[in-house]
Amino acid sequence: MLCIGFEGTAHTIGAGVVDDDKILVNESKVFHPESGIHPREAANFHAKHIADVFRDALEKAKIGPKEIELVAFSQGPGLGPCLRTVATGARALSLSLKKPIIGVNHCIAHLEIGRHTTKCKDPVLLYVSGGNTQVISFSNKRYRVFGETLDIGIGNMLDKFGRLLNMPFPAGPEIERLARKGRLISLPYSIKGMDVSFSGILTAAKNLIEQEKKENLCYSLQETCFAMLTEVTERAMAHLDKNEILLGGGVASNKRFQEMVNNMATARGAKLFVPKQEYCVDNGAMIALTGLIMYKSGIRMKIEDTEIKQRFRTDDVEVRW
Amino acid sequence: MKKAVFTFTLDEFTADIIAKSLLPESKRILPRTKVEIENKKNKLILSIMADDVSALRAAINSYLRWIKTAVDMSNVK
Repeated sequence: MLCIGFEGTAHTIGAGVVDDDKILVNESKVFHPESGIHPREAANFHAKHIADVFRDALEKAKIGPKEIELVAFSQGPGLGPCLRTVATGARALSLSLKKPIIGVNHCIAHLEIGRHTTKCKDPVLLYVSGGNTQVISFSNKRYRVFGETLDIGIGNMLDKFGRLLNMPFPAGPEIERLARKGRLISLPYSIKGMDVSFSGILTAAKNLIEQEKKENLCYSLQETCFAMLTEVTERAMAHLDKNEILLGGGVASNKRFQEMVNNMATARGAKLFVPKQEYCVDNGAMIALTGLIMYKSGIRMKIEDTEIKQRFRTDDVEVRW
Repeated sequence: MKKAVFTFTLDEFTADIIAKSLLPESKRILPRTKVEIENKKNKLILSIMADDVSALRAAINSYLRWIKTAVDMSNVK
C-alpha cells in the first residue's frame, strides 16, 4: 500500500513515500531563517514549496499521484501557521485523489521511524529537537512521556545561545565544533523530578559571554544539558526495566551526546540505537510510515477530523498497533 | 467592522475541494475575525469580517496562503 506523508510542524517541509514497510523516498526543503523561526514566514515557505516537494517525491519514487492510496500529514504538535498550511495541502490532495487521509502525531512518528529503521523493539526514546525534548516509552496502550522539558526544547536553547554568538541557524553543529576545545565551567544543573529545564542554564551562559571563552561556554552547555538528559533517561529505563534506547530529533546527531548516552547504556547493559541523520531530523517518511501503521491498525479519519492540534500530546494517541 | 470579499472562479470540482479543505480552519474561532466560505458551483467566495485592519490583514494572508496551497496540491499531475 502506497502512502505519502507530509511533515510541516516547524522549519521543514517534507514529503516521504512508503510502500508498506519500505521507504521509497524522503524529500524535504528546510526554511533557514536569519534568526529564530517566525511561524508566518515558515508557513509562507511551506506554502511556496509543498507542491514542489510533492512533485520531487513522486518523480523519485517513479509513481504518479493516482497510485497513492493514503495521504498522511503531521497534525501536531508544532507551529500553528505551519501545521494549518500543510494540513490544508494534504486535505486538498486527499480530496482530489479521493483517497483517505490520516493525521499523525509528530513525536510518535519520530519513534516509529526510529524503531523501523534501527530494528529496535521496545525502546525508551530520547527525543531531542528544537521544539521538543521528551523521554518517551510505551506503557499500557500509549506512548507515555516519562520526562520532558518544562520550558524550551534543548535545540531551541542551543539556537538561542548560538544567536548570541552570531552563529548560523541551526547553531548545534557550530557549538559542537567549538566545544571540542573547551573546558568545564559551572552552570546550573536543572532536573526537577523527571523533568528538565533549560532557560536558566541559557541565562547563566548568556551572563558569562563577556567573561568566558566561547569554547568553554559551548563545552559546558553541552556537558551540563546532555548529562541532565542522560540522567532522566537512565531513570526512565530503570523504572520501566527496559534495555533499549533510541535517539531522535536533530540534536541526536551530536556525537558527544551520543557518546554520553552510549556510556550510560553500556554501563546498564543496554543498547543504543541511532537512526540515520535524515530520519533523526524532521522528515516526511516518518509521517508516511506512521500514517500507514495507523491506517492498517484500523484508524480512520474524515476531513472534519483533521483539524490541527498545536499542543498534540504524545500520550493523547491510543496505540492500537 | 472591516470587510473583504474575494471571489475565485474555478472549475466546480476544484472549488469543492478548496471549500472542503478549508472547512476545519474556517470552523475555528479567531479573535476579532469572522470568516465565511461559500461554494457556488464554479465560484468560491471568501468573506472575511474583522474588528480592525490588523485582524483583517492577518486573516486575509492566512486564507490566501491556504487557498494557494490547496490549488497547487490539487493541480499536481
